[in-house]
Amino acid sequence: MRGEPKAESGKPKAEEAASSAATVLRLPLSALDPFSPTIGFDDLEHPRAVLLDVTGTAKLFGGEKKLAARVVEQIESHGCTARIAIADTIGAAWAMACFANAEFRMQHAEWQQSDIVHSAFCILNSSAPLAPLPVSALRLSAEQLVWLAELGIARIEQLLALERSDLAARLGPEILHRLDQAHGRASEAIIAYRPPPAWSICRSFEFAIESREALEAVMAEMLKPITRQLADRHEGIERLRCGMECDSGRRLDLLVGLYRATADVEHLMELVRLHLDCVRLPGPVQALQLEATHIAPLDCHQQEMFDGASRREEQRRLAVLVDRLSSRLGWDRVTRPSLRAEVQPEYAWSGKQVVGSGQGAVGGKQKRKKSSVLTTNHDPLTTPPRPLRLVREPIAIQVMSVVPAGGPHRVDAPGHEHRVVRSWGPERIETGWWRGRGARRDYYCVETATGRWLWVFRELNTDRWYLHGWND
Amino acid sequence: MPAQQSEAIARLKAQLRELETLARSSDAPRFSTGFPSLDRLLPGQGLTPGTLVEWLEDAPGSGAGTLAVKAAVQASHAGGAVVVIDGRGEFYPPGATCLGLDLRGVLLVRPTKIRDELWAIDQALRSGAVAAVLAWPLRADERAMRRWQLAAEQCTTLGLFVRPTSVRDEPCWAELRLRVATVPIELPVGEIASSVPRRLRVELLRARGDFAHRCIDLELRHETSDVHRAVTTTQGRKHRPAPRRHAG
Repeated sequence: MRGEPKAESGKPKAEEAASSAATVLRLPLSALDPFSPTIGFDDLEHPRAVLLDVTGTAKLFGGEKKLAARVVEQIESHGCTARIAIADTIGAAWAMACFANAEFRMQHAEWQQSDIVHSAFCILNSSAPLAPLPVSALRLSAEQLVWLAELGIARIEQLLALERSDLAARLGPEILHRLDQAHGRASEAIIAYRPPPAWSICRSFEFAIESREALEAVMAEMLKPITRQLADRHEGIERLRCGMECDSGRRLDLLVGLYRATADVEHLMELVRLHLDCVRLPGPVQALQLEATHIAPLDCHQQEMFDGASRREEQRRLAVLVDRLSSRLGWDRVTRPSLRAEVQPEYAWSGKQVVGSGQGAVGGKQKRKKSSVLTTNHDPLTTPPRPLRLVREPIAIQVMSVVPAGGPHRVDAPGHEHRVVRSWGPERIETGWWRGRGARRDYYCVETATGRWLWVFRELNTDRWYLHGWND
Repeated sequence: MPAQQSEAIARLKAQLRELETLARSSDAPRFSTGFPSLDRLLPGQGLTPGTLVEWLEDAPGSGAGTLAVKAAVQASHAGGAVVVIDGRGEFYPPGATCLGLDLRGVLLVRPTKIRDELWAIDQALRSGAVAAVLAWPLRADERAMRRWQLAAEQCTTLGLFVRPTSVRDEPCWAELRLRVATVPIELPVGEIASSVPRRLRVELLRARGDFAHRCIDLELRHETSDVHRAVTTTQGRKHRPAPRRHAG
């Protein structure tokens, strides 16, 4: 209207709470394409509004009012409601769309309730009417709002009453900047939002697919265009979701995770097959959706003449193995163990899942080079020996000692009675009170007359004995 | 003539060994078990990549796992990962690091079903990126063992299996079948328990192309898990070799 950029802001009612860019609107952004050349989200951490630059486009629709009415219509045709404001600045439009109630709009702006549902729009003629709005309409951070609340500043007009120089000195330049943006004294541009390309493909079938072979063949066929396009961009699939809609109306989702991104259809299909082996289809498949939810760059290297190639081939084979194992056994079943600085034996190590939790390379030769005969963080002088087998839950056993609170003399493990030939200990472990159930134990390593090495402990609180492992 | 006779026997033995190990060249790279004296007990003076080794134990805590982990450590020095397949969920990594296993190169797989366990061992053996597979197969039938043996041979992976002694008369597809037991040592008066090393008796029950039954004692120092010396090398009783099948 006045040649200045106008912003328009639409927001479905249900999205009162902060939400991510993707969920601000439940309708595809492309639905708004006819109205503006530049569509974006506001610059908040959790965007609340969609911004459209409608400079100069209003006359194509016969005025701003009609434009706003068309936008409302479009959004409502997708089953959403929206509050829309057209203003000279992004800040003013945002404030009006998000914070102005009906009564306020009635007084200060031309507004109209849509006929259909609850959507509404208003067209702001000057920036003055922002004054009665709450300060949160200025797109401030939660921290800044707390400061202002502590100072008793609730409305924008209170802020405007203060000296500019005081404001900047006391509250920082950010609030002043927001104020200027809302009033058009500072420029602001809409950053166009470009949705990431969706690597997804859907197909529904006239006749539901019953046989596994046919299903797999169709999947492989559907994967090809995705992987080809990805491979052209030197990217591969790291996680693939296969959604199957079955005849019975039930839906089955398979999530295939990979240790390393790949664009190899054969490999992906093999993993899908392993997943399919573990589930039962609820019925013939009517529709199929494949979606690459995680994309990562492919591991590309220049060819090397000497050692490097075989090492990488080894890494690739290992990735294939990890993918296969994880697909059939479950992601949590394939882990990379590492020691933890914990005294209590049960917690002294942890297994990090290899697939589905970022990268974790296993067994790189380059890492191995440093290892000598006695490696890793085990220091035989400071760390007492540990058994090779640890039972999940300590087994209660009967133990006889010669002296009270002394070492074991006879051990009655379930089904066996052992005379102790020699024993080491005690190694006292008192720890874990912060876990709620502290451990107070005296550990003994025991050699029995039957030639078995046991790892037993006496629970100091109860004076009971438990078998905790075998030095296998 | 006794001299001629023994010569003929030696020649036939050598021929037999050659036939049995035809698939591999005799100068295949070998690596140590981690114990020089145990290496000397074995027909090839060490372990051969691409073969299976069974460590039998009477009961848990007999020491078979220790020797198997030691062998895996040696195998991993040449590069490649060590895959531990632990169906019981009782493998304790801190114990393995005490024996020198570098956890950075370890992939720990914990299948929950026996079928999955057999499958996982097979997959790991035939992956080609694995130096050694260490497993405690709860139930391994002849067919599975045969598959493993072929996979190991094809991808030159070492398969190390700890199994109960009860399987000693079952047909054997492994290159070596060793029985491990701990010999209890009565503590001499005035000695501290930890200063006396652990004594492990390793019995060679079966080796491909070698029917001799041999036995050796190893001493394992507790603090450093280092072997110090082999005490005795005894010629054991004549053992009936386990029935075996030929690849065909």
